[in-house]
Amino acid sequence: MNLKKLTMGAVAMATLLAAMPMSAWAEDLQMWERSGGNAGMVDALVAAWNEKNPDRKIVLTYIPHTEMVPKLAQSIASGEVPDLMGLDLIYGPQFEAAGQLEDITSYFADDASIKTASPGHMKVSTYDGKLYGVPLYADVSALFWNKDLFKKAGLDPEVPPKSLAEIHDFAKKITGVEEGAYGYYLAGNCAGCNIFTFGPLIWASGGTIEPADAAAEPLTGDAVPKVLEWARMMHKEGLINPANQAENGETFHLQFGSGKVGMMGTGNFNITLAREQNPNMNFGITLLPGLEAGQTASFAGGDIVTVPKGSKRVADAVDFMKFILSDEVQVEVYAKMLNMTTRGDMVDNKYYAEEPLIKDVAKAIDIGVTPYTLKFFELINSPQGPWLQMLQRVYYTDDPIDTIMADAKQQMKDIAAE
Amino acid sequence: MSADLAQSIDETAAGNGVLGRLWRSRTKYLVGAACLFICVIMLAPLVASVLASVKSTAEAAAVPPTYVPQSWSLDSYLKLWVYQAGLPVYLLNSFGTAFMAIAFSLLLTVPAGYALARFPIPGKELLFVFLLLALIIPYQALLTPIFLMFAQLKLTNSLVGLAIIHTAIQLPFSLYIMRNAFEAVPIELEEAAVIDGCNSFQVLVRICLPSVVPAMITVALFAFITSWNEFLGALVMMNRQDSFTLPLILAAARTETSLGGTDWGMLQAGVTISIIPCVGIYLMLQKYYVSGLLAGAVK
Repeated sequence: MNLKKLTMGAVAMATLLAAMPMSAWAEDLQMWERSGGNAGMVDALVAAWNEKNPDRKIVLTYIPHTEMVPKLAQSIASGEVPDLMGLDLIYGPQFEAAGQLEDITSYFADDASIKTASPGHMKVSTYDGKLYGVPLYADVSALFWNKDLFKKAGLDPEVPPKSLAEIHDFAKKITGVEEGAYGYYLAGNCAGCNIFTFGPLIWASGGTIEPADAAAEPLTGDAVPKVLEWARMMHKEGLINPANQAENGETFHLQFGSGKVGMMGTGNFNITLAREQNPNMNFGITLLPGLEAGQTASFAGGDIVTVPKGSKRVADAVDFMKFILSDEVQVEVYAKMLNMTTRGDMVDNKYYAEEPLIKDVAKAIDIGVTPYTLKFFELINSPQGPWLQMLQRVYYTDDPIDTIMADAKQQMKDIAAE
Repeated sequence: MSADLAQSIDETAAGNGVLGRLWRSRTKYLVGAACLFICVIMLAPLVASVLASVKSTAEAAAVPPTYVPQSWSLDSYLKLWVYQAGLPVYLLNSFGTAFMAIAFSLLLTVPAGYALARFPIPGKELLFVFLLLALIIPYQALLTPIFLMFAQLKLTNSLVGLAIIHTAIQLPFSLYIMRNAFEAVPIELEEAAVIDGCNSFQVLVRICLPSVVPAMITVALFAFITSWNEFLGALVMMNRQDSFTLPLILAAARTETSLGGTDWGMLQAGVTISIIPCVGIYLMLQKYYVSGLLAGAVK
């Protein structure tokens, strides 16, 4: 009977698979990296290492990034930890405070390369004076401007705006210069996009956002209400596409490449992406400005690489860290792929020399700000958190800015005190 | 079938005159239209995801969305095909786990269902209810202890371990199905077999099994679909790229940027690929659902 064959087949296949030996991992180093990061960069780093170290190759596994925290906690509990783990730098302090990472301070005691490593990454890799990780790759935010739209609007395509007031003036000229063109871009429903691209406008102007600890005051500085007023004006005058209100981050990376946005805060990842999307578009990159000309800031994001508690190959893992910080890898892997070098002193290299745009973005590394908090998700990144709620009220309602800020401050303080 | 039903209703309602015939044919169209409407509603999401999977990456994410692809592209499939260890590895892992889950389910529930239906076990009903109790505990709550136990048994990162979990998730329901199926087999058939000299194992294999084929198919189908779609257990058990199953890879592959950017084209390509085996297995097995096999067996 046909069914019998089918059943037999299923059983045979099952036995075969059950008997299949899982490949031997004894010699390999295991590395986890969150998905949704800069996978191309991490793949290349691991490939470069594996080529040089055939006897201790790294096997790389991407973990769905929303599951990273529970997955790691569980693996530490069972003792089955990977030897290296790349994680979103913003969550570094949280893992360090929870004692889930290996202290690697002594391995780097006399290592010069970390002295010039991205300050934002190093800050979040350090907890209580101990070092737990090094930069894996860097994502920085900067202001991209579309030279084609500048030209059409009668602006000098080579002169980017130097202050928020100039962004406003330029945006006014660009909006409507062609079908569907808007001057500026702000994501209406994406907390992460806003801390990445709107946060620097506040930092540059001299304001602060998140409280460093339970006792500290959030949203300080006279600049904060002024920047918020500016954002409301940009929306009120129709210089930002009303459709952006629905942007929850899923299409954020595709906006600049559409060619319909005059100026936009976005990340270095957008250079290659925009070129793929729209090869004929001319664009420039400058630093995100503040209220006054000359004020600049950036969000230094990206990943750090750490050693989870319980790894039996700490020394090998540290070798990988030193490897990715070495001059050769900085130039021949990071710079060659037109990614940010993770050391500030490696910016002058032959690959960047041929690619001025990258060099412009790379300047952001030195002024990059990385929030240092154990509650980044609750304070900033959560879709229901005070940061996004505040911005949505600023962008889309007529509530007085003072009230909005007072509410946000209170919510942030409550969260910090928990 | 629905047309037959409509016809029989009409015949009683309108008689067989000219008017009746007219009424009949009109109702037929009405029923047809209703069926078509339901089909469209059921198929729309499938069609939408297949269409989205053949759009270019930028178009798949476009706001407002396009309904019909402006340009056809298999990029999403190609990207998924070479994602990390490559789609074939993950398909093989998923199929392997699913077939093992089917085999384990059948090997366990057929004898257990037969025993619970036929043998005079003391406290049988209590035992049966006790076995069904597992249904009320969410398996998510058990995953961590299971993981810690499996870690000691070296069953993590292994398809066998995952198949055991998938079998366990499916076991109470499968047992329920099998026991009911065995109970529906007329006891007279078995008595006749015993008179002809069968022992109880032969009764099971020669008489009962052929008559519970539809139930076995149901168990197999559910085991397959559960295992094929299961995400959380696989996420917890599997630590290495090359042992991941399809749902894990789809979750990892769709995230494009750390700001929440999603590669919709790739996600829909993954959805489309993961639907095909489910539909295929269902179509392959559904012909074994023979209704009324035993009708009239003991007249």
